[in-house]
Amino acid sequence: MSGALKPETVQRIREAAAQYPRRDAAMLPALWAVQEERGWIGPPEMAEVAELLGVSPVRVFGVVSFYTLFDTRPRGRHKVQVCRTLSCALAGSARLCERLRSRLGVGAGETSADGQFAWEEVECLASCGTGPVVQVDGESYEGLSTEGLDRVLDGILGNVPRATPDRASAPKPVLGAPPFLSQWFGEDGPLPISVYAARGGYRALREARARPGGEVLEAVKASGLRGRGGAGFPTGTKWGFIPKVPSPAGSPIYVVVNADESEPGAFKDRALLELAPHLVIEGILLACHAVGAQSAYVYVRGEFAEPYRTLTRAVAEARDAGLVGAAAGADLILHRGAGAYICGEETALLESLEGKKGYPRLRPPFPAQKGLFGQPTVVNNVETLATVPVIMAGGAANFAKVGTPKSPGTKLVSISGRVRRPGLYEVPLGVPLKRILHEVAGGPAPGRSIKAVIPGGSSTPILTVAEAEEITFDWEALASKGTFLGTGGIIVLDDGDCLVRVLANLARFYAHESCGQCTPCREGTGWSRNLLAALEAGHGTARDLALLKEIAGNMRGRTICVLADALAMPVQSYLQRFGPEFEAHLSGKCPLPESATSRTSARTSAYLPAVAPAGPLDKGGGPA
Amino acid sequence: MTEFTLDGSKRTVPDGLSVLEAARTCGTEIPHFCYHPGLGPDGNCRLCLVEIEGARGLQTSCNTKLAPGMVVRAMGKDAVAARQAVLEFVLLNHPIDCPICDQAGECKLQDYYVALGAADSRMAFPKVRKRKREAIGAGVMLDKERCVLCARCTRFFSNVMKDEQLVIANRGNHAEIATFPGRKLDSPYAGNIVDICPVGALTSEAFRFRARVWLLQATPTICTGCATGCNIYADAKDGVVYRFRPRTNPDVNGWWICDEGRYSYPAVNENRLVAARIGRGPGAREASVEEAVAAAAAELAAVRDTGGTIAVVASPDASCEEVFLARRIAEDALRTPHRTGRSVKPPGVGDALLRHRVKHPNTPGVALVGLAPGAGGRDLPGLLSPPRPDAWLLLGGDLAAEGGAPAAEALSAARSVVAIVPHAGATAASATVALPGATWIEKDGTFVSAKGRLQRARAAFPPRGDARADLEILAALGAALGVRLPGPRAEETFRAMRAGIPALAGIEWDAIGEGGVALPGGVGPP
Repeated sequence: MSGALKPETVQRIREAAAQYPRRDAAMLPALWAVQEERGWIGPPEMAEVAELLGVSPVRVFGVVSFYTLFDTRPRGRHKVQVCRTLSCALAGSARLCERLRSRLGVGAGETSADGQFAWEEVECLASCGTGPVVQVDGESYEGLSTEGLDRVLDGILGNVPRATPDRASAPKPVLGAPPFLSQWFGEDGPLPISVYAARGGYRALREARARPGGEVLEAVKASGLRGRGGAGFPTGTKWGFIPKVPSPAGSPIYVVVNADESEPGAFKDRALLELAPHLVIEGILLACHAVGAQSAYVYVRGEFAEPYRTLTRAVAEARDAGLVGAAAGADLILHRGAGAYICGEETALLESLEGKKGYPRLRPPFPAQKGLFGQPTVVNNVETLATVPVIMAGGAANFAKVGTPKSPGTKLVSISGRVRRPGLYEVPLGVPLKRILHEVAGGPAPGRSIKAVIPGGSSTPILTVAEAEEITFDWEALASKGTFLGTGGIIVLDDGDCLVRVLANLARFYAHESCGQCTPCREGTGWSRNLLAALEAGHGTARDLALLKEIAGNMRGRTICVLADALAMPVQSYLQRFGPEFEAHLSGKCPLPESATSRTSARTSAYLPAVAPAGPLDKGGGPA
Repeated sequence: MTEFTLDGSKRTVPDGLSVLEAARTCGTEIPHFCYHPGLGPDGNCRLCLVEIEGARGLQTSCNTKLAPGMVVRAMGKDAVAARQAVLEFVLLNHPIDCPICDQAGECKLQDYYVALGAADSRMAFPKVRKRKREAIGAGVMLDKERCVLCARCTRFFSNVMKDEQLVIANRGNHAEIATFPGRKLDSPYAGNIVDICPVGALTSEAFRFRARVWLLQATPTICTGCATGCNIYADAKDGVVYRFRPRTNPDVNGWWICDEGRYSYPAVNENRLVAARIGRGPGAREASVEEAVAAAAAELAAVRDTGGTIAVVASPDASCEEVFLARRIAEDALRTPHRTGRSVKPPGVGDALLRHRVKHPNTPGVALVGLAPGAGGRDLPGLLSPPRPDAWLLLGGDLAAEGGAPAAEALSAARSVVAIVPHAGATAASATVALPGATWIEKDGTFVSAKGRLQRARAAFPPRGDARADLEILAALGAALGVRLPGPRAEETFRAMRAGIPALAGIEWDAIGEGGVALPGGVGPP
């Protein structure tokens, strides 16, 4: 079997393997290397990877089959991926799919006859505020109209000047938020290390490293910082679970960075990685110092080609500056995912980092006891870690002055859907949600009114506009309405949106992303998707509605991880709050015929090459 | 010991159990697919949910350690409802092809469905279709649609064999068991995944559609294929064995057996010697066992009384009791020093898990009983070289086949060969008197494993045709030669044998039980 791969590829795989304590952990980097050489991964290549990593070939086969970004058959020269998840669907991604179907003459998942383009529908690409987004060969093109899409493809074929890919947008501090995080973002690209350092970046790290790590831990505890990845667990408390005794040789402690942002509606971590990489790196290094970790692994979402490149360069800069590396006290290794929402779940992420399928683990043991490679591990979200330098530089008290006692500080909110100014903002926690919706995001399009708000990413229970407008944006207030702050990905729906269609879209997402390990999730998500698709198509019955509710009840709290809940909670909350809308669908006709995919978002304009679409954030000029 | 409350009753169980194991110890079977005592919990099936007082929500009993004072409701309303829901989920994309499924009668999904309410399907959509009837190698058939994805088979390979050969590929409801593309299973233990599959997803090519399991009678016995002595069930009907299955014994084989042993059952069905025969070559004739025993005694007595040499060879395939009687005949009736229980069969393949390279079940038993050359006596293979014995008394095995040309020549050159053998093999053909012995599946007896464990084999059914348990034949032969031997029931022979063997002192026949007993001080290597 061996000898099929080029020596350079084999060399790359060996180098990747050296970055992990066990060489089989290099599974995903190895498969990426193979795919980059061959364009796809066949059984002979899988067998060779197995040999290089010292695992059974069937393990490699299982991994390849699990991650959507690995191709097991030859594909077109260029890979075109259209995001079909909620925010992009609201912004008209279906029309882009239609256009690709007619232009390329083939359906999703297939390759055009000339072999140039393979296109497919994919799940959330973290461009929710600037959708619909299409990725071509890993580059993002946002806010595309069908004409814009044609121009992108023509540019790739060389028929017209090549379109410039879009980058993430920096957040804007609003509603009196101190620019805790915003100030560290570059405008057109990553803030270079020189600028970052000149503005005082990495000073907190140098000072902290001169003192015991416990001081960082205490400061973060004192700040009251809560995790920004979804659960809102106090970061200092989480760090405190790591055993304090000095770890014996060969028994390391790990910091793992969850940069697998894939919750529909959230696009803050992508922006941090692309535009503020040094803030993230400083946060990671501070965390390492706090818990006594000598190495950190950053798990970057597979779809994030640009953030991965940016972060790779930034880590090299920090290494050159003597901040990263064994001599500096902590090494930093980047690990690229390969297409699986479930890997955002911390234990699935650890499995994936170890080179396996992203199957969430049974707890106990918790990662703090037995995490990566069986060692004590803290897993933190990108934004959480990016907030740590802010706390260390300005002091815990300064941070906690903002926000509420239980939800201190500022938060990046990703706003998408039916508002005039979707985008990324930094808000003080505890501000009225109504102000975020209207003052910041500009409220609904003319002639429309907001109907519902998904407050924290697609898996959080939905609120009616009345509920949303009477609460503040913080964990406590959202909990009082039975929902969560989650990742801070706010998706706004207006009176033209059909909630049956919205929920059907989300059910499709969760069914696609269920790892398949636990019975209720594996079967329940697919069943719910089918029921909702039928309901949307006008074939539903009253019995189906009752069944949907029952299925949600039978999924919730019954599985190893919360992916099942992430669909069950929306189903329950939509049916509870918008039951009549679902019942109206039983007539066989959607009462909102021009809903969802038939309208573009208020923000979307025709895509013009080389300039950013119009928006609230100035990304370097362009027509409004 | 840990005290806890199970469905309202106070119970006490050994420490260190999971809630599921504790309940099982108390006789309450909590439904489950993924947990298996030999593989541990995996937590994926979500069927074993129970209510535990003070815990938030339902808990999986397979991976929850029992704590003192825990109040568990295995049959609580919520727990049962949750299990019903899980079963509904499992059945959603299941083909429900029970009428043509060979798992019927031992399908956990079917059993649980019947026990938990048997509601009609509420799924109105086309099911996810997957491949059926896929021969995945090593005699295993896979039906991907029936699979409940409990991962027992994949974990058997990764955790027990340390050799991943199966994997769950894809995700969501497209997840399915698969081998590496283009490769088949290649494992001497693959048959175990058929046993542990809780449903009809993995079936045995050799067994499927041969018999309905409820018509089979399971006899707890031991495998005699090698010196390990794995505990098995022999599933038989009307004097025919249909399959061997592992029988749990943590001291011997755990939950597993090897495929070599598993698929050795055709040997007990085929090529049997079912009638006695006197004479060899063209003059041979069938005879009754009684007539043949008399003829054998006369032949052996004639050689003895004319000063010829007689070799008595018991195969280490024979039970301790049989070897004991053979020894008594050799010493007391034939008075020959040429007596042995040594084998000339070359060793086979062994491994660290279960397979022993010595392919006899009772080599240590032969040593224990003390069948060995007397003063001036010769042993195998020396007996096969000139000067060859004038007569042979052979018990079990197939010396002519196992010893190759020298053995075949030695037997055909002898004046008299009395063979008590179960098969119509080379030895039977070269015998002057062939006596139809029983296969090990047709008789009772004790065997001593390589690790020094005394275990009982049990008769699954009476010997076929005119065949007899070897002890009966030996006793009759002894009587014809003027020696009264204990038996012919194995239990009686055992008791007489025990008297002269210190290692067996105090061991009662019944105490050997289904799991066997470790002999004090063990025994030497086989």
